Amino acid sequence: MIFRGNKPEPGKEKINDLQTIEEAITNLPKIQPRPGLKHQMFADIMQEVKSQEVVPEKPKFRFPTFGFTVSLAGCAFAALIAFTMVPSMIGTDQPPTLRSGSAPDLTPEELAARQEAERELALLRQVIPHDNGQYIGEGVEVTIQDPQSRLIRKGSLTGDVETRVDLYRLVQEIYNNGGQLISINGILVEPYTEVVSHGNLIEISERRVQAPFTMKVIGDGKRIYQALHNSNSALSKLSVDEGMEVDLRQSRLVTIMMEEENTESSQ
Amino acid sequence: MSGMGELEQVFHQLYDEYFNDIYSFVAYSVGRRQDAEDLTQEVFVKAYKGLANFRGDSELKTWLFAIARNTIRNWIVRKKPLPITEDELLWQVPHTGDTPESLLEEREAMDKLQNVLNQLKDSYKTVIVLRGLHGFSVKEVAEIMDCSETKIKVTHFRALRKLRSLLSADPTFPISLHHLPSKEVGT
Repeated sequence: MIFRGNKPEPGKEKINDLQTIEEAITNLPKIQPRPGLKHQMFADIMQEVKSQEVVPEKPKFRFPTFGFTVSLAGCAFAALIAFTMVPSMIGTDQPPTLRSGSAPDLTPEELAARQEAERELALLRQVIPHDNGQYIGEGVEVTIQDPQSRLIRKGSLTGDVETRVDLYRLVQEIYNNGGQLISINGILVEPYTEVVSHGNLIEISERRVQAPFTMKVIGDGKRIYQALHNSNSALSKLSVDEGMEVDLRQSRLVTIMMEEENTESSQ
Repeated sequence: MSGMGELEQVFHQLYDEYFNDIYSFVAYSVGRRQDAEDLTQEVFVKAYKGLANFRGDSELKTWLFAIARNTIRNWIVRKKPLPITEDELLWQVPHTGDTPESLLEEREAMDKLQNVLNQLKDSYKTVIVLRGLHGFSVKEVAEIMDCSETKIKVTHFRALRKLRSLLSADPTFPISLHHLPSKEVGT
C-alpha cells in the first residue's frame, strides 16, 4: 500500500490507484456479529420456521381475474336490462297514454270524449302532406263510368260552356260530409275548384278530363261512405237516375298526390 | 433432500459455516445493526424454506449469497432507507492499543474507505464487497446478482473508479491517489 509521501512510478498512477484500492478493500475487516447473536438467531429462525409449518395457511382471498370480472359485470347488466324490460313487455307498469284509452280512472263519458278527440286528431293529421308530396289517410274511392256520356251534352260545341253540375254537386256533398281532400283523375279538387262541362269534355281547373272518373277522397271514410251510400245522395242519383256505373269503396289507405302548383304555392 | 431431520442437519451446517459471511455482507450493505440482524434472519429463514428445493445448480455459498442479495434489494426497494450518519455506521475498525505509526495510518485509511464505500450506490457496493471482501470470482458474482459476467466486470471497474474519485477528493485520506478529470468519474 502506498501512503502519501511515497511517490509511485511515473505512468502507472491510475493502475496503481485501482490496485491500491482493491488491495485496501481486501484488507477491510469483515463485520463481526455481536456475541451470542449466532446462537440466538438460530433459535429464532427455527422457531419461526416451525411456527409457519404448524399454522395452516388460511385460504387467501384472491381478486378475480379481469375476464371473470367483465363476465360478471356483463351478466349483471343483462339481468338489469331483463328486469327493466320484462314488466314493460307484459304491460303491467305501462303508463297511461292518449292512444291507449285504457286509463282505469276515466268515466265512460270521458273515455268517449278522449276517443273522439283522438279520432279528430288523426283526421287532422291526414291533411298534412308527407315528405314525398303525398296525402295519405282513410277515406273512399269512387269510380264513375259514363258509357252514355250523360255528364256532357252530345253535339255541343267546344266553346259552349254548359252548366252541368253533377260532378260539382258530388264534390260539394263529399266536402259537406267529412271529406278533406278530393282528387278526380289525379287533379286535386278543392271546395271552390271549378268543375264544368265544356263542350263534350269536363274541365277541372281548366284541365280536361274524360270518363271514367276516378275520385279519391281522404276524410272520415265511414261518414262519407254512409253519406254517398244514401239513396238521396248525388252519387246515387247518378247511378239510379242517369244509369251510370258507380263503384263506391271505403278504404283505410287512400293516397292523393299533391299537385305541383300546390307544392309551389305552399313553398 | 428428504426427511425433516436431514434437512435440519444440512441447514445447521450451512448456518454454522456461512453465518458470519452472510452477516458481514448484509451489514456492509445496509449499515445499521438492527437492520443487518433482521435481514440476516430473514435470509436464513428463506434458505431453510428453499433448501428442500435446492437443485445444486450452483454452490451452496453462491446460492445463499444470492438469497441475501435479493433480500437486501427487496428491503431497499420496500423500506427506502434514509442515509446513514457516521455515528450509526456499523463497521468500526477495532482499535488496538499502542500501534506503530504505519498501522495507525492504515486504520485511518480503512475508516475512510468504509465511509466512502457507504456512499456508493447499491450495485457498486455489492460488487466491491463480493469481489474484494468475500473473494468471489466474476462468474460467482454474476450468479449471485443474476446478470452477465461482462456486466459484473464493467460494474466492478466503474465502482472502483468511483471509489477512487471519492477518496482522491478527500485530502485527509492517507493513501496517495491521483485526482481524476470529471469525465472519468463514474456515477
